[in-house]
Amino acid sequence: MSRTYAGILAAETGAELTQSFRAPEFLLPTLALPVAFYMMFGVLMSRGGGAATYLLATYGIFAVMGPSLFGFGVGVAGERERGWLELKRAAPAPASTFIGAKLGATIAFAAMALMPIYAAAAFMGGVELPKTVWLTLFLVHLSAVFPFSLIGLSIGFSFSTNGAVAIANIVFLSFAVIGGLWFPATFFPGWMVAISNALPSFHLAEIALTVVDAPGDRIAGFHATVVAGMTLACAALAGWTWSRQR
Amino acid sequence: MLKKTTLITAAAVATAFVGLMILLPTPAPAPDLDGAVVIDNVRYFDGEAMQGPAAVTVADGKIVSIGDPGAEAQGASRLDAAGKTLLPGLFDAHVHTFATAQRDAVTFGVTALIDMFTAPALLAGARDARDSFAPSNSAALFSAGMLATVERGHGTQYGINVETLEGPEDAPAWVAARIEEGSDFIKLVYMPYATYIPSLDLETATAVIEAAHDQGVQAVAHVSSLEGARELLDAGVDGFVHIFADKVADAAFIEAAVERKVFVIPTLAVIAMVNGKSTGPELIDDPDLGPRLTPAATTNLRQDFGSSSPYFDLDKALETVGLLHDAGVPILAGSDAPNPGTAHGVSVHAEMALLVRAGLSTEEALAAATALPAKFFGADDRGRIAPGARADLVLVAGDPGADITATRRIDIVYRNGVAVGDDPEPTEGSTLALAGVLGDFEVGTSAPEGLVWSETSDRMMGGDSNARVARIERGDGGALAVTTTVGSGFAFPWAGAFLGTTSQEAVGDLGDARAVAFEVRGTPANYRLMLFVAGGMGAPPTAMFEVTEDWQRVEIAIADVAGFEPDRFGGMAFVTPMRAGEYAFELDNVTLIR
Repeated sequence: MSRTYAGILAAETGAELTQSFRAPEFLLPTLALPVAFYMMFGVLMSRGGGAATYLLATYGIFAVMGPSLFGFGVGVAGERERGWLELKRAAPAPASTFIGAKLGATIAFAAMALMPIYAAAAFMGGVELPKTVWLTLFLVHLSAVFPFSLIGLSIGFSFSTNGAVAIANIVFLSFAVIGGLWFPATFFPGWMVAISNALPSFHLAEIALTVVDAPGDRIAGFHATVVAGMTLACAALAGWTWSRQR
Repeated sequence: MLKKTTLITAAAVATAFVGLMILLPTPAPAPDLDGAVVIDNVRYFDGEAMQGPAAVTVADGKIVSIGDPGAEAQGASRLDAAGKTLLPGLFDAHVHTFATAQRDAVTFGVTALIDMFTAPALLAGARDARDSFAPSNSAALFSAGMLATVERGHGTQYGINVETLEGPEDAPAWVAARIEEGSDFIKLVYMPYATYIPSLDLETATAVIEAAHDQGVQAVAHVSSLEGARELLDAGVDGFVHIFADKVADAAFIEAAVERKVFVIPTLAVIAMVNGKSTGPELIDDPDLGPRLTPAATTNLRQDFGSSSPYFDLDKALETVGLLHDAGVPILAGSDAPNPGTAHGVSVHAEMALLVRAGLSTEEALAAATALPAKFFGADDRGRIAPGARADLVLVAGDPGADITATRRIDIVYRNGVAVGDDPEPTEGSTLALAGVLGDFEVGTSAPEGLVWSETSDRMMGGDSNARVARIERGDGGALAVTTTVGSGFAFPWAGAFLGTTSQEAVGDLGDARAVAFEVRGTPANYRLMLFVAGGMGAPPTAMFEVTEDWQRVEIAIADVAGFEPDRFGGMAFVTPMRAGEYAFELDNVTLIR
């Protein structure tokens, strides 16, 4: 086996994937829950009027959030607790392959979680979009991996496994609900909207909603700027929690 | 091993992604709305009630949307019609189509005609023309074609060859022949109580109605008395194309009419004329309608029967219409143009006002001229303003829902989505500018470029006349010799020489020509010069001239040929009198003079 960077990254990613494939308690909720929810609210209970399209945009963010928060948060916490992180640091592989492999696996699982939702929207929800819109939407959804992975990483570096599970769940649900991923944020009272505006899930959803041309006035550039800023802040937080490990 | 896992997973996800992307459905492409029109802020009559104001978007001859025109309508031209009202193109549910009827009708917002008797030859292209979405300035035609009557009965006096019925046994074959000719429905004349004219008997009328129903078409009837109408109700007639005006309908009749689900086209405008209360003068004096009238239409509107008939009492007719309407019998607006006192298109506006006088609401009167005729005569995509409907529309100033006479304030008439007058016939083909000599027969029978001399006779209408044309020597040059035999196989016989365009699409323009001049001699009689309007139907505009055995020069002023349109010249014919016999004549130096 080659000892190139790519080779190490591929091997590390393979390890991450294998680990996840062997963990149905991670795989099932991550891949099945979002599409099940979308089927219920976006397809079966939807009474037309563009709900299937609207919820496709927001549930896509929801689907990406699962593997990002849990893969990184809970996974890293466990590895840290078992001393694996210490071992990794001593191993002759660059530290970035550790993160890179996790990121690669997370993107793969995010794509796997997204595709059934797209299929449900298209073939059962009657959503029709130009190909460029489908593709752009997919890329927007996938880009949510970055801020959420960084948040997950911060959680993983900061809490024990049990603590990380609890914290990741709190973050996961509050980002989903208050971020307007399950129900449109426009239904919320004013004080809740203020909280929504502080969450990356809300701004990512707004970008996705712009892509599908959902009703309402949005400025995609504003939301993208906010998401970029939040991602940088999360990166700083992750870096700080990482440095505390040494 | 771990690397393989990575590669397999990556490949699987990528393949699934590509597959999904290929399969994901895309919306149907937005319709190409080049040339679309958005009529914005317009009040509109949907066929039943006033709606709006809203934006009505029209493209490709149809109404595309009502309400937000959306991104689809980018590039559409926008017309702010605030304060105006958009109506479905009007119907005249009782006309007789001759000459320029279909063009005249459109001028007044009447985009569909229900013809109650015309020459069957006119039906040939009518269906294709009315189904087409091409721009047009001609009203759609739905027609009964020939009518069912008896020898010398009503309908035989107009010069159109009518195949009459002798008894009930004739009915099935007669109806089959009409359907073969292109009749959309069957019309019969039943006036057994009129003393002055013979009529179908009840047995034959019933047989005609039953034959029509057996062969899948409806049967409507001309009646002139309450008694006759009552009998036909029992015979199963589908509608009456006049209301009787001899008596007010009694309760029993009204009950029967409701029960039999008949519709009634009262033709109050023509009843008013016979009763000495013609609506013609009011239409001529109307500041908006008057200027749109052709000289021929104005002449027609001024005419009346000169006497009032006791069997035609407008007040009784109005009362009957009111009673029928209150009982729920559908009332349709028809004018019976071009009877004296009426004219094509314009008289529908008078008829709607008379319907309001009879007790219909303004919206019901509008429905009588739009959605109801469309419904009862199978004009499925007409008579309504709704997405998908044909964009035959009339934009009028004001609100006909408040005052029915607002229909007369015509602003724009749309036929198949194109404003009539905005280059309505781009497909018409070339225009031939005509001037000077049309035929001097110096060399052969040649005519100016694009024109040709030929013979013409009533054989094309099923007659048995004959004509032959040939060049003969005359002095230093030549002339056209026309030899004819006029037969009696057609009610309006003719034979003679015809100067027509070589291409069916070409239209002649006579420019500022003042008169047609020619030299003629032949079998002494009163001959006729017919000036055809391109695309015109029925009897052409005609002038008479006298022929003697000696050569003489004849000059016929174009303005005197009622109904002719000099910029739409479709041909001219020099023909014999309408009397059987042998006629020969010679024609020379046919010239347009300024």
